[in-house]
Amino acid sequence: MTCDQIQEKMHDYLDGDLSSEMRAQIEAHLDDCPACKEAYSDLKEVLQLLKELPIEPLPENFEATLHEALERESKAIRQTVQNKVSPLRQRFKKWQRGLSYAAAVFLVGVVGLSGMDGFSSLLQNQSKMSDEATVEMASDSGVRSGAPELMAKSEDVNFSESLSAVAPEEAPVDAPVDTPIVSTALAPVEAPAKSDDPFTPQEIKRIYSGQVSLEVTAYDQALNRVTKQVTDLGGYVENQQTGTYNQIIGGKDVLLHEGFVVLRVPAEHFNTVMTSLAGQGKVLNTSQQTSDITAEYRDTYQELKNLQVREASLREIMAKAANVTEIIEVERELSRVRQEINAYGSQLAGWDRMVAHSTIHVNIREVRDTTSAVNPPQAGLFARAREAFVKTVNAIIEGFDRLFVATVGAMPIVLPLLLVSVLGWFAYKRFLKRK
Amino acid sequence: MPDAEHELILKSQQGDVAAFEALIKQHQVVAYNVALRILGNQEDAKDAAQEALIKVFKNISKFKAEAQFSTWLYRIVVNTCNDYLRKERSRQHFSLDQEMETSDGTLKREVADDRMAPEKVYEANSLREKVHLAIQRLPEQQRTVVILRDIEGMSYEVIASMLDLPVGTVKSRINRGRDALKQLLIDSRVNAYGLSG
Repeated sequence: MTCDQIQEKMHDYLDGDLSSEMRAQIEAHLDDCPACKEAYSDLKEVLQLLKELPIEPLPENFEATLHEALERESKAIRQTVQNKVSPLRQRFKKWQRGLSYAAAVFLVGVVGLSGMDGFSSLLQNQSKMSDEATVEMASDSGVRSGAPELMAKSEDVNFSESLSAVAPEEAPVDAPVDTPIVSTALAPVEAPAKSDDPFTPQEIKRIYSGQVSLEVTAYDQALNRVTKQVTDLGGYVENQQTGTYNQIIGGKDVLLHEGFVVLRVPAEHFNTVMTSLAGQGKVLNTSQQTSDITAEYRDTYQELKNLQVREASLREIMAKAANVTEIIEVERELSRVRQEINAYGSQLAGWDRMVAHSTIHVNIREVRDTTSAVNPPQAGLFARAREAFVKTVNAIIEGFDRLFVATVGAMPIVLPLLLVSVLGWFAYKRFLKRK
Repeated sequence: MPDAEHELILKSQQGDVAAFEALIKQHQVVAYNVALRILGNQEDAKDAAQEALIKVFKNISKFKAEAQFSTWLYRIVVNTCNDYLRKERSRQHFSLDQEMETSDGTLKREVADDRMAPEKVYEANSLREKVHLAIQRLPEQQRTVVILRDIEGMSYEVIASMLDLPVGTVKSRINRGRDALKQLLIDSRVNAYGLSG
C-alpha cells in the first residue's frame, strides 16, 4: 500500500476499527517508513490531546439563570396545556351540553309550533281588514321564527369567543316564513360550527338599493299590500311614516295621506319586489343602485386577520412578560388591538347586513280620483271588530290547548333523551374514576 | 428508554421545571462543553448552551418517545451553537485576512477581533490553549464531528443519527478534521520557533 493509503487507514487504526491482518500490515509499514511513522505519532498525539481536554465545569450562575428562563417557559407551556386540557373532558362536556340544548330546543320548538299556528292565524285575520295597523313585524326575529333565539346572531363583535363557548348548533334563522317552523326548530343537533369565521371574504359583496315614488288612490291598502308582500318574502319594514295633507276637491277640503316606507328585503328578492312595486300604483319615478364593496370588504377582512395575528402574538408576549411594567404595556397594546378588531368586525358585520338585505325606499302619495264617490265606512264595523276579538281569544285558547297536547305528546321522545344524557354522564364519571 | 427518564420527560412536557432540570442534569455539562469548544469562550458558550436547553424544554412536547433523548438534545445543542456562530461571524469581516480553502469550508486565520478572541481558557501558550484555538479554526462541519467524537467520545452511529448523515460521511469529516488539526498544531509549533506568526 502507498503511504497515502496508509495514512488514510491510520484513523481507523487508532479508532481500533481494523482487522488484525490490516493492523499487522500497517505496523509493518510504519517500521520501515519514517515519514509515515512521524505522521502516525503526530496523529496519535493530537488524538491524545483531544481526549485529555478536561471537562469544564458549568459557570457559576449557569443553573440559576437557566432556572429562571425555564420557569418563564413553563408558565407558557402550562397555559397551552390547559387550553388543550383533556380534550375528552371538553368533548364530553360539549356532548352533554349538546344533548341538553337539543332537549331544550325540542321543547321550545314544540311550544313554538303550537304558539306559531295561533299567531299566524291572528295575523291573517287582522291583515284582511283594512285598518291602520302600523306594522309591528318590524323586528326580524318575530316573524321568521317562533322559537326564541337561543343563539342570537351576535352582532356584537366578540366573535373570537362567541363560537367556542356557545352551544354547538344553531337553529337556522333564515328560513323563509312559509316553511313550517317544524323544520327549523326540530333540526337535529348539529356538529359544532364548521368554521370559526363569521365573515365570507371570498364572496362578491354587493349592496342593492332602490327608490320608488308612487301615486295611489287608497293609501292604506297600498301600504298594506306592499308591506305584506315584503314580509311574505322574508323582509321587514325598517321605517315607516305617514302624514296627511289637504286638498280641495270639488269645493270640499279633503284630507289625504302621504308618507314613505323603508323596506328591507332579502337581496335575492330585490328585483321581484321592485317590479311588483311598480304595479301598485302610478309610478312617478324610480331608481336603483348597486354598490360593489367586495374589494373594501376583502381589505377590511385582511386587516382584521392581520390584527388577529397581532393579538395572538401579543398574547404570547404577555405570557412571557416578566414584570408589571411589561404586562401593563402589553395590555395597553392588546386592548388597542382588540378595539380595532371590534371596529373592523362591526364594519364587516354591518356590510354583511347591508348585502343580505337590500333597501327600498317607497314614497306613497294618495290622490283623489275625482270621478269616484266618497266611500262610506264598510258596514258592520263594530260587529266585525267584536268578531275579530272573539276569534283572537279563541286562537289563544286553542294555542294553549295545542301546547299542552304537544308537550305531553313529546314526552316519549324527550324523556329517553334525558335518560340517555344522564346515563352518559354517569358513565363518564365512572370513566374518570378509572383514570 | 429507561422508565425514570421517560417519567421525567412526561412531566417536563407538562411544564414541570424540576423534572426537566433532573432530566438534563448530566447533559447540561456536556452541552456546555460542546458549546465551549465550538464557540471558544465561556460567555458565548454559556449563552448558547442555555438557549439550547431552553429550546429543548420548549419543544419537548414534540419529542417522540421511541427516539433517544440524549441524541435529540445534543442535536439541538449543536445546531444552536452553529447558528450562534454563524450569526456572530457574519457580523465580522475577515476580508483583511487570507483564508485557507479546504473542501469542507475555509480555515479561519487567527482572529484579531475582540469579540471572538477566546478568553483565556487555559494558560497562554500551553498546549491545551493551542489545541483549543486550533479547534476554533476548523471549518464548522469538521469541528463539530471532531468535538463530538474525539473530545466527547460519542460513537459514529450516534453522531450520524444526530447530524442526520451517513456514517461514512461522518468518518471522512472526522479524518479530515483530525488531519487539519494536526497540521495547525504542527504549523504553530513551527511558528513558535522564531518565525513570524
